[in-house]
Amino acid sequence: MDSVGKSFVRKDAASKATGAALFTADLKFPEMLFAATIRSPKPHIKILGIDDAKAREVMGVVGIYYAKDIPGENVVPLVFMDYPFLAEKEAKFQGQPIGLVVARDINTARKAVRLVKIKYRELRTVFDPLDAMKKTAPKIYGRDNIFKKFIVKKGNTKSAKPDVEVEDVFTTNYQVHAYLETQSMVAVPQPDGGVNVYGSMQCPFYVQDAVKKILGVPYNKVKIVQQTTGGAFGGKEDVPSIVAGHAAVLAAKTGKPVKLIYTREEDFQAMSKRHPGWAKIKYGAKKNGKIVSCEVKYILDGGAFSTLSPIVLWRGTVHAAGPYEIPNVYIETYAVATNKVPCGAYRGFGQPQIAFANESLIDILAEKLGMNPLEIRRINAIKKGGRTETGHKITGSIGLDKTINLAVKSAGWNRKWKHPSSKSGSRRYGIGMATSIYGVGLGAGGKHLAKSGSFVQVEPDGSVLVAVGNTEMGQGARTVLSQIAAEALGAPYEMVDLMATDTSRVPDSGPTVASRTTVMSGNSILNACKSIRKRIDDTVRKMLKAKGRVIAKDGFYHIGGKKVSYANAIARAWADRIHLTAAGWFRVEGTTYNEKNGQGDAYFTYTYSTMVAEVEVDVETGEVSILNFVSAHDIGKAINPKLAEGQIQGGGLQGIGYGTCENLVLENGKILNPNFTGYIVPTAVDAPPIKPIIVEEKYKGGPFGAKGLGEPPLICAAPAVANAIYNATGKRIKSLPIIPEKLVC
Amino acid sequence: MRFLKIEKLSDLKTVREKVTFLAGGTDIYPLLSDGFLENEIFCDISGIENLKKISIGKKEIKIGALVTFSRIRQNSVLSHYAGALVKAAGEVGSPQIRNRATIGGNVATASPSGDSIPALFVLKARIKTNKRTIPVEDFFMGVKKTVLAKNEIITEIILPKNKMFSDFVKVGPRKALAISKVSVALAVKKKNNIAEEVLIAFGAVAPTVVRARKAEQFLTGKIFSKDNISKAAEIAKGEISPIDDFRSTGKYRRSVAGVLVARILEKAI
Repeated sequence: MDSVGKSFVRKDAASKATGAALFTADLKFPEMLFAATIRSPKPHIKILGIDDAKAREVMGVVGIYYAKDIPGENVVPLVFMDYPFLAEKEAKFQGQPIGLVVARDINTARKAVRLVKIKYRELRTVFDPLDAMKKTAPKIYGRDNIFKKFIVKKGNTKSAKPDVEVEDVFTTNYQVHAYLETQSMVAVPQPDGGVNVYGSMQCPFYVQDAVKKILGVPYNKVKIVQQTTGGAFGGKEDVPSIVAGHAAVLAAKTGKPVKLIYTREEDFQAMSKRHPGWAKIKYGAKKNGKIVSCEVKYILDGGAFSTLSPIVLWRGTVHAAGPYEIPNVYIETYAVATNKVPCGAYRGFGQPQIAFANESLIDILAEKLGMNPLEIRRINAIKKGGRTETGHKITGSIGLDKTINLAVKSAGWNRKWKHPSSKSGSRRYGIGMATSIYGVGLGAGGKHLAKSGSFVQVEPDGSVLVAVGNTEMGQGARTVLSQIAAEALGAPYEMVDLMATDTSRVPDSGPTVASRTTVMSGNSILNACKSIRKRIDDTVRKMLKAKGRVIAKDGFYHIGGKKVSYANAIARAWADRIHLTAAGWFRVEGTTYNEKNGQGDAYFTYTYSTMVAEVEVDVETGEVSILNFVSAHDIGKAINPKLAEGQIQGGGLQGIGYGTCENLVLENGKILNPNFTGYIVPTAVDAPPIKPIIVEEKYKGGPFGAKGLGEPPLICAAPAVANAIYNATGKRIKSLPIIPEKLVC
Repeated sequence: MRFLKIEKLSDLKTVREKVTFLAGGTDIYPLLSDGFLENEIFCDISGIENLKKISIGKKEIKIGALVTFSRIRQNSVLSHYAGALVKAAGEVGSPQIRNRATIGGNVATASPSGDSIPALFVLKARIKTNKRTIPVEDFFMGVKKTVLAKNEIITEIILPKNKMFSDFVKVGPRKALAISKVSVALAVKKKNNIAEEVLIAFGAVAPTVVRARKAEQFLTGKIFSKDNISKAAEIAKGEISPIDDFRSTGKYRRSVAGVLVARILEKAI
């Protein structure tokens, strides 16, 4: 293949490296105003009144707006409709938006916000999801504070008759996305009552839904254009809808373009996070190591509003037994409301929390059975023909065993693994591993969104314009999808490029999440290119005066021994007024899920991963150095191997941070470390060498065999490190992150 | 918020309002976005060339208040006479921060976790201002509080030119760009492996940097043996009562303080 499987340089590398790329902060429009947000000062209040007289007196303040000023509906459209754009009578978390100030410059807007006095009465609060599930808890959501509950029943755990059982409780803290660019939007009012919104986002169609809702205008009056986005990781899935909604209302009210950019502190305070997780999990096994039963109770701390919690919980639920074939499974899961910042999407989407539990517990089980952690995984890893916990029979593209074998070989597992009891000294070496299964795409839980549009236009000079509904947010979609289009058209890669994602160019294509873009937009592009190629091929046959199959290779179209260059063929087609433009569409069928027993073919395919971490632990200070990290993934086909490796390394480091140092601290619902001074993400100096290994067990439904890779590189990184720390120290830490304080004290 | 700028120290006389001095700005900048400094008047002193010198005299070393940590870190004479300070300078923030952050600023900010301060304690530094010279131990009053009066400005840090072994170690939440959870500076004068003088100072375990005087006393006149070192470490950690905060716990800080004292003393053997 000419374009697929090649490590081309990213399309956006030069513009990002030189600073030419336009982020939302760079955008300027005539008469543009700036906005800032008035937020709840406490985690649960009844709003009695607002005194903004002093704020209105500040020179440069143009207006202050509240819920009553919203022309459309005051609700962020998502799974359940419980989150108002602006609080009306009650605010349920510290930092919840209550009002908006718009001013001539940003400092004035922020200063005015500080002068607004909210009169309130504090209401009862609950911060712990286990407390929130008690009858006596104050009610944040519905009658029981439970946003959603799922059950998975496979076989019968009561009749499993294991020889050995292990059970434990594992907890995980928040994780903050730590994208470089905070939430940013500019709304520009249009003369006909519509609005154009430019901003940092991963799901332009969610933003379009939100702006339509808050303004009460038709879809065709709302145009959303994604700007170069400085990181997302799930943190720009649903919450940009709030920011865009606010900017749009202010633009509608003032008739001027309005820019709304969050400070790092308010981004920490009010934007989504990875859910803190609580999991009680039990594995039962035979003496030979075969796991025969798994019971899980898994609770996610959703925060004050449901946002994406129900579907985050669903992904966590259908992966909660781990990447193992287990005949008897019972899983019960809850997403629960508390008076804290609403949690949402974060790379891994409900899986990393439960993967920490699975992968820690299986090591505990191995220890109890006197087995090596590698051996127990080999015995139980799901194999071809096996069934997942939801009963999905895996018939193809399954490379879990291969990832295990390649990862342990690269790390030198057999040579290096020694029982913790053999370790001594103040600095101790340890090695640990973890594995995961990852359902690609939205699965049966998000089937209504499993669609994707595209638009491909071949220009007279042979350059190709591609538009899709998914976004480039650093993961490399612009490059990878260009490669797919180039391969399908027979065009040179250099001549193909993606335009900025624009809702007026392609129909609703669902969100850019769930490692779905390569498969969904890729297939949609293939669909569009197929009809264009048919017309090009006809032209080629005419030019070569030949019949039969046209093969595109090395910039030429070939029939038998005859060939014509790509450029000439395109020029001729245009001269003949052939229509070289097509809209593509792709949708996924066949995923199923029965809510009663949690059984079904949950996803169209799965990515499989194995990670091995080598650490040195200073047992006197509790400091952990990651010496080496190996991360192997069966992704079907790497469209761009270099970018795939980048995803593996980036996700790996993010997972290592989740496992070791990223520790958000809350006291009575207030975040105490809402910036990068206090919230510690790994730096370049902390990053270990990360060795990516790509396994290609082709998925026949994917473009050129590709599956998804965005999320898996993070999922089992933290448990691999946790298991390595155990191997070094003999200490099993059951809560993330494993900060030194937990190891020493 | 307003900004003034002076190019010469003598121009300070013309400044009537109470100002906050701006040197490297690395401590001030993060506060700007929070609106904490909205009504502040800043006086930019970063252009005063006189305050950027390191001069090595016969008995004293004078480090201008505007000398950056990058320069301290690279100064070979300083590494001879003030190892702890040079080591601490290398532990401050990141390369970018060290290129801007000044020693005078680090002292004036008076954070209990300011990395240069424990080093200055064990090196018996004196803080010279435009009005007076103050021993470093009398300079700090509490968290971010010093004896500096209105518009009094640090001009120099003066170190006695002693040839003592000195060192600094810290534990932070990651390997770089990290605020200390605990730090220890040590200076030792030895003769035949017997301690003639020992100074130990802790950072980040109390509202100001504190000396471990009992441990110092215990070691003075004793042999630098493993046994004495571990006893001294035990005594030292008993002298502090650090608190819990979002960065760490008191228990951890105390435990690691003992470990760091033992480790730094072992280097002095």
